[in-house]
Amino acid sequence: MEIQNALTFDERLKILTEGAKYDVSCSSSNGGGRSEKGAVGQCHIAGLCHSFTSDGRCISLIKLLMSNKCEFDCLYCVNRRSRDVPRASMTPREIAELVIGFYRRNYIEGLFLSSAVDTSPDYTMQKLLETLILLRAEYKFRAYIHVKAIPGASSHLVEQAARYADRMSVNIELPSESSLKLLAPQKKKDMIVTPMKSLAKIVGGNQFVPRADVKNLPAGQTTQMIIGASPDSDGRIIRLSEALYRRYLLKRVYYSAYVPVIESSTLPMLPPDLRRENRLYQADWLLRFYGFQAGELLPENENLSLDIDPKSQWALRNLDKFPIEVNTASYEALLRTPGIGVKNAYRITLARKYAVLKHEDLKRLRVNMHKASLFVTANGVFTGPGDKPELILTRLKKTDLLPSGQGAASGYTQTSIFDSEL
Amino acid sequence: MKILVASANLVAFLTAVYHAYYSHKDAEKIVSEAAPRDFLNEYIEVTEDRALAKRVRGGIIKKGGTDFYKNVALAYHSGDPEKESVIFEYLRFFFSDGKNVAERFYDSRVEAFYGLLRKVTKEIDRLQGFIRLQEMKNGVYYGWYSSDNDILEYLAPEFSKSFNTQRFVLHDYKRRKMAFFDGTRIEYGEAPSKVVVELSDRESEFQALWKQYHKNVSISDRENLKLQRAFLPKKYRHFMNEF
Repeated sequence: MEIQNALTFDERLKILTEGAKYDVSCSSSNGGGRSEKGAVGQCHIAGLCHSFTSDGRCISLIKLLMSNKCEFDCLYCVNRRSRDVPRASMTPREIAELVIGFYRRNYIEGLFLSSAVDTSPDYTMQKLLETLILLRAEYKFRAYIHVKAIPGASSHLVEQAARYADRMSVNIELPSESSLKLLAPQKKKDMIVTPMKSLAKIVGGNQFVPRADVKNLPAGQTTQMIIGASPDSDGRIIRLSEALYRRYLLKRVYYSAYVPVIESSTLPMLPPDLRRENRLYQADWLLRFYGFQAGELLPENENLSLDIDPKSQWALRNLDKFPIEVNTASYEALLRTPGIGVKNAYRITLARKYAVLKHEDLKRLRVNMHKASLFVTANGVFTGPGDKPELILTRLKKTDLLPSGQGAASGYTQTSIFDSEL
Repeated sequence: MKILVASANLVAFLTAVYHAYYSHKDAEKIVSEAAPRDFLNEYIEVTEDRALAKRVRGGIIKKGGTDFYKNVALAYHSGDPEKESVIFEYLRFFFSDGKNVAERFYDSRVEAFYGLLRKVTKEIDRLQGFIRLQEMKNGVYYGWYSSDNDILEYLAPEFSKSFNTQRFVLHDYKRRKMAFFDGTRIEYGEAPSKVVVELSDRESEFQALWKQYHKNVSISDRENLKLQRAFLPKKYRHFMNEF
């Protein structure tokens, strides 16, 4: 408290922003708030980006910690108890005034509110809840609110917060219990899973379709995992995500490449190759929108290849299923073809009702033909190299859009599917 | 080739479409009055006519539905100098083949039409987020912007929903147009040549906080200015106070 009094509002905002910025979730889509006479704000179904940071991320919500004073000592965390950093907090009233001031100037779509575990999980959750109630009831704020469920907080507090929030999240942070024990000794698996279960009950089924009419948590629940701070493999991470989508009805799992801000002998010194984060997101999309199962994408103890995208990796292992003829293939088969996205697949099924599609037509449909031409025939014409995996791989590598990664492999060997075959 | 010339508004364009089907059936193209002309073609100036435009609009809605018409109107708000000709080609295809032309993505006329549409909707989405409102002394919020496409009439209604407890002015600087929302209704008008904005006392504080927030939320270890530029092109930054 002494420290807080000595700090100006600007300084506290700086500290509380610094503490929240490593949480990557910033989506503002699928919120439930509708414009209403006399109330402040609304939610846009697709969300809106208001600015972009110099690292290229969208700013949609003001991301804040209510407090960075933490009872926990998680090794990877900038706010861990044993770290000598300035501590600060904001009152619910200060947060509400700031959010309304920013919203009225069109800086933000809403609020992302998190907190360190200040005093106790319940005390912190109670304060977060107070802030939400203040914003919704007194300020009549209808725009987007994403709030954290604090690990270890009582279910009734978490469930109450869900009545006011568009989205809630509990961060898993580490993909396995052994990593959790090592790096976050005070966090027990149950402290994470219990609030997740409560939220899953509120979300109900079918989390991937827009559910803006739903009163509680219209934008569902999400979580975040830190990638590269522990030796967990991509195969394990993707399996965990799949289980979270199925069992706890998560709307999204976010992956955050570990940024080494703290020196510790248990943590890697270098960040992971940033392409790894990207490949995980690609694989995650395949689970949610492309009908893939984790088991098809890679074995449990392996990592995704950094050179080509996971769908191409899968296709290379399943060359017997290709090429497919775009004019007759099922929607599901189109979805599984590299270079064809959800929108492309849908457009192909519409357009082929009127004409037999040829290669140049697919270009007009905005299909990525660099990739797709290796796996499809159009009106019987095939321009790929056929059953020659090495040639296909070379061409896929050439057209891959990801720049070679910054950072390094951080001491953990990245195995590609081809390494394992050697 | 016979070419119809329409002045720069939707009514004039739809009037030209009418003439291309009834009084100048041999007209092959519609261009805007700003388009360059040459000696090889015959140019016919079209006088805009609300009644005729309304008939064309009615015809499009009857054959294609309201959403189809909405897309045509939206595409017309493009800043592309070729838009008249692109939309006319698309409409001709539509009048001959029906509303399912909207699904024939392989056709170059359809591709060109969607090209316009995509750029307009993208800019509407972007500017809904990028425009900064500043609180003036009189309590009205002022936001200016410059855009490639003519989208004020799409932005203002969205802003009136998000900011329905505020009075605000949106100012399209390049086209010298303004929308004013008084808390209930939106009115459109011409912008004066000089706009004086007197800011409220607390405005500069909020702007400073926002600037600071924008800077602090970036992760410097992961700086990627190219990516930032792809999402937020420099052309928009001069009206955003964080830059």
